[in-house]
Amino acid sequence: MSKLFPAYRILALIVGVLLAFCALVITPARYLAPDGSGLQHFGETWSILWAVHGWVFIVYVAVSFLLWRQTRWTAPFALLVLVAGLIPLVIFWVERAVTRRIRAEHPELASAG
Amino acid sequence: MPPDAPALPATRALAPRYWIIHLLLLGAVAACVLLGRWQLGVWSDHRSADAEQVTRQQPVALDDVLGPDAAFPAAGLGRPVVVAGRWDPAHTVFVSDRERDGRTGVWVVTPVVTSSGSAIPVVRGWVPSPGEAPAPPRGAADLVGLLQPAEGNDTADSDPHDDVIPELSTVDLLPRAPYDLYGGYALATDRAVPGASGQPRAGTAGLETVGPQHLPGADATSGLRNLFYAFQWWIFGAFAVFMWWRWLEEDVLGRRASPRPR
Repeated sequence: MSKLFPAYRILALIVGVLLAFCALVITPARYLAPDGSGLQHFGETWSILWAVHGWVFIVYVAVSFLLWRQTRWTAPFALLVLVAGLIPLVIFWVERAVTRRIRAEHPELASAG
Repeated sequence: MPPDAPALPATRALAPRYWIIHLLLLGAVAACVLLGRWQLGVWSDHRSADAEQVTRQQPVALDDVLGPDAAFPAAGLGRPVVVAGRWDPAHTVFVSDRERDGRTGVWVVTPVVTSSGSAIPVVRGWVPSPGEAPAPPRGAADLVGLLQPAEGNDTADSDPHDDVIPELSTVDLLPRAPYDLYGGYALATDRAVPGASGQPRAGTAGLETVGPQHLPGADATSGLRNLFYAFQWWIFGAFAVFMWWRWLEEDVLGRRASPRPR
């Protein structure tokens, strides 16, 4: 019925991959690789993905917020879902927890997904 | 629909168990505002660094950029040029009302007569008052200066016979100079003159250096990414406030119906 839950899952995946790539590959390459090396140049060039992550994260936060309003999760769990988009790799685990909770507590939201 | 609690909305919203949420909101908003301001600062640093790039170019001979009879070229703005010739200490002038680090003082300007026979005013530096200026240099001049266009003529010289002028303009200088003038002036630096051995003869001793007054504008795109980051942070902050407000209204105050009641 609602497209929110599938939208949430797709956004969580994109945010998770972008964040892991930016935080674990691009930024270390930019600051840890020797000056002037190809690896450092690669880090410089692709650090624009941080901006992409930022904008996708805004959409992720908006969708998560709407989902929260429908599920009436407690504030701590909702905050965990929102903040997960800022800590590398955590979002993959959070997305599974959200999926489990939605399927168990709000099957009407999960039916479309 | 509203819960049976008779307490005032404000009392309910400020219940101790919600304090941590309110504090988190304040922290998040403060962090977003500061991070946005930081990125805005990075953006403006990028732009000034971009504008100052021209002053770090390799110096070229003055006449290659600005000939004695030529109009001031756009490419000459802030360009380092080699000024070589003879100091004309007798025509040293002071430009009044010049600020430096919040203090008002004067620029000390001595013309250099080049091999073309024309003279270019060289700003040797800044002093709090004309009386504190060291004796002007004599003899050969050889220095790297940053080229600047002559200033406008908006201020009338109150006394055309003294050695204090209101602006470094050709009109103010000409009555005092027995030669033709270039259409710009140079800000003396202590940089080494390319191809010359020994110290530059820049006449800057005892004076504080004057930085470039006019530089070409920065590229519109320089540091643009940081400007976007700044906006991103502020949008985050605004959205955090929005989420907090909706949560407060629906979950704490029970003012609105849930869109999908359990």
